[in-house]
Amino acid sequence: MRLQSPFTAVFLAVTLAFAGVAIRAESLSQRVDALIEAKAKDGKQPLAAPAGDAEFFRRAWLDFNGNIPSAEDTRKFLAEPAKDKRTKLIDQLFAAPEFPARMAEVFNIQLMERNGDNEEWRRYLADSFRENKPWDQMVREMVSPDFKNEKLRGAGHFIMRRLEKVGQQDTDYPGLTRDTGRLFMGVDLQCCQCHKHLTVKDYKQVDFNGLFVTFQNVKLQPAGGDYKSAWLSEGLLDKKYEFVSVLNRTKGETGPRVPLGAEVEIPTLSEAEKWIEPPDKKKRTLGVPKFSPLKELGQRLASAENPFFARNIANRVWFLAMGRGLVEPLDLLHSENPASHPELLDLLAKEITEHKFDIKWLLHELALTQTYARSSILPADAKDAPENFFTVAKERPLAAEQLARAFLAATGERERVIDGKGWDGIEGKKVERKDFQKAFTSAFANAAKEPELSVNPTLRSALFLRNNDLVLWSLQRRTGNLMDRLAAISDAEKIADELYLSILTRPPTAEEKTEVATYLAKHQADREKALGHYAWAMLSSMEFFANH
Amino acid sequence: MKAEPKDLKTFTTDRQLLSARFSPCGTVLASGAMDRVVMRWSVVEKKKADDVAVSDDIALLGEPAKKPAPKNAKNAKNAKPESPVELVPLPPLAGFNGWVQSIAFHTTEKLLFVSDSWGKLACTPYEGDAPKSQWENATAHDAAIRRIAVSADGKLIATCGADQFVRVWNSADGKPVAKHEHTSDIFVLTFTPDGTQIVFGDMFAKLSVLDFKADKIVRQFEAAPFYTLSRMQDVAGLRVLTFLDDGRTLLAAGCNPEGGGFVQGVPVLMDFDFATGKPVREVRLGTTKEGFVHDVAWHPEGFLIAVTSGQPGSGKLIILRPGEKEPSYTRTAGLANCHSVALHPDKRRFVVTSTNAGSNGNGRRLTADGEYPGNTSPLNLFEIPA
Amino acid sequence: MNPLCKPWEHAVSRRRFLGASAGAFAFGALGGLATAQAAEAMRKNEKQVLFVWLDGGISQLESWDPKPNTPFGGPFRAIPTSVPGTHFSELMAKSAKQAHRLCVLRSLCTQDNSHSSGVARIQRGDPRNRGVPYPYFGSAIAKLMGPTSSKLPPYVWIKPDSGGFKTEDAGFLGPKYGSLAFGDGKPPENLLRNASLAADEDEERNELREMLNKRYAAQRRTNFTEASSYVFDTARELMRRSEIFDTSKLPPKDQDRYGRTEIGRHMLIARNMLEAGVRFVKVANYGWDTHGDNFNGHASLVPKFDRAFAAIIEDLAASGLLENTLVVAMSEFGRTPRINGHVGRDHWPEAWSLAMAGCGVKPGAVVGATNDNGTFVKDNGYDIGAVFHTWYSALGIDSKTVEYDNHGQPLPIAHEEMKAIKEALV
Repeated sequence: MRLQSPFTAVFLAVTLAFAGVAIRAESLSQRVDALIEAKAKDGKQPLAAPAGDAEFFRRAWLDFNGNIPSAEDTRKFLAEPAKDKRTKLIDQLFAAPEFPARMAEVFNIQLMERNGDNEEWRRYLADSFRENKPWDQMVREMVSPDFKNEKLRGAGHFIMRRLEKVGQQDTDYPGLTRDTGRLFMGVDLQCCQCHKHLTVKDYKQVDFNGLFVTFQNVKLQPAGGDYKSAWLSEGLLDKKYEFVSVLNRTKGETGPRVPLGAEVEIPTLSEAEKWIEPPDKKKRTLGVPKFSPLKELGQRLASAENPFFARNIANRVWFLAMGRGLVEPLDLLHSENPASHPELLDLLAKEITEHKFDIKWLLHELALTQTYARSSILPADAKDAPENFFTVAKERPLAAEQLARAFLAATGERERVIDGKGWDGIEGKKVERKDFQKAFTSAFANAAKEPELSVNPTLRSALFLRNNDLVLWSLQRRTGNLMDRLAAISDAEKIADELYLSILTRPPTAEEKTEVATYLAKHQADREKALGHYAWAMLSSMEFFANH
Repeated sequence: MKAEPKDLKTFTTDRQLLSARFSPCGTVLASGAMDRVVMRWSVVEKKKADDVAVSDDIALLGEPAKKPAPKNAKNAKNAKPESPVELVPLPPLAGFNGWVQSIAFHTTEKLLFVSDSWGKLACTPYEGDAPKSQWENATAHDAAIRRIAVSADGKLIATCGADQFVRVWNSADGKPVAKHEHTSDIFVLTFTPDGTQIVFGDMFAKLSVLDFKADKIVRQFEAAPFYTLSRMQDVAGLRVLTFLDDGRTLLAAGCNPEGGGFVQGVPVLMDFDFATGKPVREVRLGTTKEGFVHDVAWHPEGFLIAVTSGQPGSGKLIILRPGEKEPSYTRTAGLANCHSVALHPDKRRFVVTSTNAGSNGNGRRLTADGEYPGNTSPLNLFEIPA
Repeated sequence: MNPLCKPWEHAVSRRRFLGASAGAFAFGALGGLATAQAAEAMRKNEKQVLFVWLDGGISQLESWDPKPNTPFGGPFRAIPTSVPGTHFSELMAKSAKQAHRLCVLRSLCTQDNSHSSGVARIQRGDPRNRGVPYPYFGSAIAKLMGPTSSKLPPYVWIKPDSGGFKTEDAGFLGPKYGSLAFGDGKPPENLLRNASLAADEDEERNELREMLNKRYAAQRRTNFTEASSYVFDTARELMRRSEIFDTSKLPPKDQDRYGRTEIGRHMLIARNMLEAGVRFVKVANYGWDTHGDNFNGHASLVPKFDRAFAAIIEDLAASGLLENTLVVAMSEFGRTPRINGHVGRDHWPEAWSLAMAGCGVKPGAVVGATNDNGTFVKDNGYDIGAVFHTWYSALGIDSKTVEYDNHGQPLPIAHEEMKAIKEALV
C-alpha cells in the first residue's frame, strides 16, 4: 500500500465531493425515499406494500384534483399497460386546471380555518396558484397587502377577517399575532404573550410582542376614496412597545420583529420625515407613514433568511402529501420538538428555498415518491404501524368539499347539480351546487377557527349521512345517474363492478361480487330501492370517507 | 288654544308618582305613588303661599328635609320664580300597600277613591291632616287594581285589575253592585257617559262593552296596535281609555309595542267611533324609543293633553286637536318619562309628573354620600295662556 | 390589549403545572382529565343536571327575594311558601308550593353587568383568566361526567330559535363537548329517521355498511376506523331512542300542567330527556331583559316560568329522579332595585338570587340574604365561582382536586380562590 500523499487526500476529497454531487443528482423523490426507508430499517418497521393501481389512482385524484375519478377513467387507467403510467398520471393531474383550484381550496382551509368566506380572497388564492406564484411572494402579499391593486387586495382578507370586531370583544390583535406565527412560521406563540413560554424554551415573550406590535397600528377601514373595498390602514409607529412578564414582573421592550429573529430598528425621523403622506384632517385622510412595520415583516418573515419560514412550508407541503407533518403539531417547530426525520426536513426546507418556494414543484416531487405510493393496508402480521415512520400510507378523512364532489361524482349527479344539465322531466325542487356545498360543509367541516388539519368523524356527520334528504335524493333513479345505469344492467356481477368502480374507484373482489349477487337475489321484488341502499352503504363506508 | 303652555314651576318630590289628579274643587292635587301612599299637595295662590312661608323643599311625611337632588334644585331655580301658584305638601294618605296605581275624585263630594296593587280599594276625604276613610275594602280584588272609574253622577265607581275582574261599587258605602269575570288581565276601564255601560280594555288590547247590570258583554272590538306577543311575553300596551265628548268618540292610548323586555314601542293615540267600534284616527307620536302614552287630560275647550314615557330620558307633552293627525304642540325639554297629567278645574293650569334625569343605569351607582339612590317624580306645573 | 393568556399568576399553579408537564404532550391521552382515576370515578356517577337559564335577567324582587312595601319593592305582594317563614313573590304561586324542595340563594354578588360578557362569565363560573375560553357548565359536565349509562349525548340544550350541534359552549374542551341543541324544542336536523325509510330497511342498509367497514378496518390502522365506528354507533343509539326526541307528541295533560307556553313545552321535553338519561339538560328562555315596563313584563313572564318550573320539580320528585338530579334556575344577573323612568329595572349583579333543588342541595333552605330594601347583600355575597364549587360538590365532584388537562396545561374546574357554599349543601 502506498503511503498517503497529499495528493491522495486531495483525490479522496474530490471523490467524496463527486459522490456528493452524484447523490444530489438523484431526484429529490429518491432521496426522500432513501431517508424514510433508512429510518424504517433502523426502527425495524416493515414497509407496507406499494399501493395497487386503483388505490394510487384514487389517492392521487383526491389529493391533486380534489375529486374521485369516474368509473370510466378508472377502467382506462387500470387497463393501461405503460410502466410509467403513474408518473404520467401525476403530471397530468398537476397540469390540469383543477390542480390550482384544489390548492386554493386546501390553503383557504388551512389559512382561514373555516372563519368566514370572501370572494376576493378566494379569487386571489386561485389566481396565485394558477400562476404558481412563489410562496414567499404570496405571504408578503398577505402580510403587507396592497389594497389599491385589484388583483392583490384579496390577500388582505387574511388580516382583515381576523381584525373584524366580534360583538363587544376587543379587536383580536393577539389572535392575528398568533395565527401569523402559526401559519407562516410554524410557531404558536400564544402562551408567551404575557410571560416566557413555560414549555418551549425557544419561544420568548419578546417574540410574541415583536409580532404583536407590528400589527398594533393596523386598523380596518371601510371602502371609500381610492379604495373600492374595505382596507387596512397602518398608523405611525415611532417607539418601542413595552411589556411586563406577569410571572416575575421583568420588563421588556421591542420594536417590530419576526419571531425568533432580529428586531427591526425603528428609524429616528424628524416629524416631517415621518410621513410619505401626512394625515390631512380636511381631506379626512389618515396619512401614510414612511416606516411600515407590515412591509418590514413581509420582507423579513417571507424570506430565505428566515429558517422557520422554509421549514414551516416544507413541513406543511409534506403534510399535504402524507397526512402528517414531519414535525407535529405543525405549529410547534422548536429545538426540543424535533422532526421525525430531521435530515429530511432540512433537505425539504433547503430544496424549497432553492426552488424559490415553489410549492407545486415540491408537492410534485413528493407525489413521485414511493413513500406517497405506499398502501394504507398494514404489512402482513402488523397490527398497527406508528405514523411517524411513514411506512404505511395514512388514511385521511375527506374534507367537506372533497366529499361533496366525490358524492356527486359517485352517484352520477355531478352534471345535473354542478352544471345544471339534465333537469328535464325531473319533478320536485331543483338541487343546486350551493345546496350541496352548504349541506356537506355544515355536516363535515370543523368548527370555525379550529385548525382543520383533519376532519374528525362526528355524530352530526353520521346523522347527516343516514338521514339527510340530499343524500337520499342522490340515490333515487334519475336519467343518467348511477341508479339509472345500474337499473339498465341485469347481470349481478356487472352491477357489482359498476358499483365498486363508481363509488370506491376499484373493481370488486370475488367475495364482494358474491355479496352483491346474494343481496340482489334476496331483493328481486324491490331491486331498485335495494340497489340504492347498497350504494348508500358504500357511500357512507369508511373506505369512501377516507383518502386511503 | 293657540299659544304654548307656559312653565310655571317645577316642584320636587321624594318618590316616584303614578297618577296625579286635581280635586274638582281645585284645592288639592293628589297622586298615587310607588311607595304605598297617596301624596297630596295643597294648591295655593301665590300670596297665600307667602303667608304660610312654605317652600317646595319642605319635608314630606313630617321627616326632616332631605336635600333635593341637585338637578331638581336647578329645575326649581330655572322655573319662573313668580309662579302664581304653589303646591304645598300635605301629609300623605297612608294605609295602602305596594303601589297606589289609580286614584279618582268623587265628582261632587269631597272624597277620593284610592286603589292599590294589593287589591285594596278605599274612599277617603282628601282634606285634613289625617282624614279617616269613609270606607275601605282590603280585598276588593285579588291582585293589583289597575284603574278606578267614576260614573258621571258619582254614584258608582268601577275597578278593574290583574285578577281579570271588573267590579262595580256603590261609591257611598263601598258595597259591591256588580262584577264581571273576564279571561285576561284588565288594564283600563271607563263608564260610558250615560253611566249604563262600562268599556274595558285587556292585556290583548281587546275592548269590551259591558252591560254591568246584566253581567253581559254587549260587544267587543280590537285596538290591535296595543298588543304584541314577543317570544312568550304578552306585551300589553293599553294605558288609557276615555270618552272624549258626549260619548261618540272613545279614545284608547298607550304603546304599540315592538317587542318585550325593553319594551320598545311607539306611543299611540287611537280614536274609535263608539257606535260602530271602528277606528277613526290613529296618531303615532315618534319612534319606538318613545314608548307609551301614559295619561291624557281632555280639555273641555276641545283638545287633548297627553304625556309619554319611553326609554329612560325620553318623554313628551303634546297637545292634540280633534281630527288632526299631528300634535299642535310638542314639548320634550325637561320632561323625562312623564307618567301622568292632571288638569286643574280652572282649565288653565295643569301638572305633568315626570322623572328625574339619569334614572337608569346598570350596576352599582351610589350617591356622593354613599346611599343607593332612588328616583323621583318632579311635578311640572304649566299654565295655558288665556 | 386583551391578553390571550394570563396563567400562572402565582407559584402554586405554576408548580402544579411543572409537575404535570412530564407527560404533557401526550395529547388527549387521558381524555383531557388530569388523571385516569379521576376520569374513571366520574363515569360511575349517574347524577344528572337540569339547568334553567332565563336569559336577560329575571328580577330577584319579582321572584325569589320579594321586598314588599319597600321603596324598591314594586307593586307585587309576597306570599307564604311551603316553608314557614319563607316568602316568594306572588308571581311564583306554584313554585311557592315546592319551596320545601328548593334551596334559594339570595346573596349572589357577581362581577359583570353586561349581557355580552356576563352570560359567558356566569355560565363559565368566571374562573381566573387563563387565556383560554372556559367551558360552560353543560360542557364542563359533559367532560367531567360524560354520558350516563343511557349512552345518550351528555349535553342537550333546549332553546328557542335554531338548534343543531352547538359547539360554542365547549370552549377549550373542544367541539365534541358542545351541545345537541333542540331549536324550539325540535330535534336537530337529521336526527329522526328519514321519512322515506322504513325501520327494517334502515337496519339492513346499516348492516351492509358494517359488513363493508369490517373488511376495510381489518387491514388498517385502528385510529380512524374506531373513531368512525364510534360516531355511527352513537347515531344509531340515538335514532333507536328517537321517541324521546320526538317532541311532536307530548301528552296534553302534561302540557296543561307545564303550561302551553314556550317554556312549558321546553320544560316538558326536558323532563322526558332527564327520564331517558341525558346527563345535562339546559332549558334556555329568552326575553327577560326588562329595562322597560318591568312589572307588566314580569307579570306576564314569571308565572309562565313558575308553572313550568314547579311542574318539573314536582314530577322529578314524584319519580325519584330529583334525588340524583341537580336543578338550577338562574340568569346572568338580577335587576336593579331602582325603578327607572321607563318603569323598568336595569342590570344588577350586586345582589340577586338563584334557585336550586335536588341532588346534594339542602331542601327548603334559604341561603344568604339581602338588606331590608333589597339593595345589597347582607354580610358577604357569593360570586359565581363559589356557586360552581357548590354545584360540583352536590354532584360529587371534588372541585378542589379535579382539574382539566388542556393539552398539558392543568386548569382548575372552578375558581381556585373560592369554595363551595356549605349552607346550601346537605
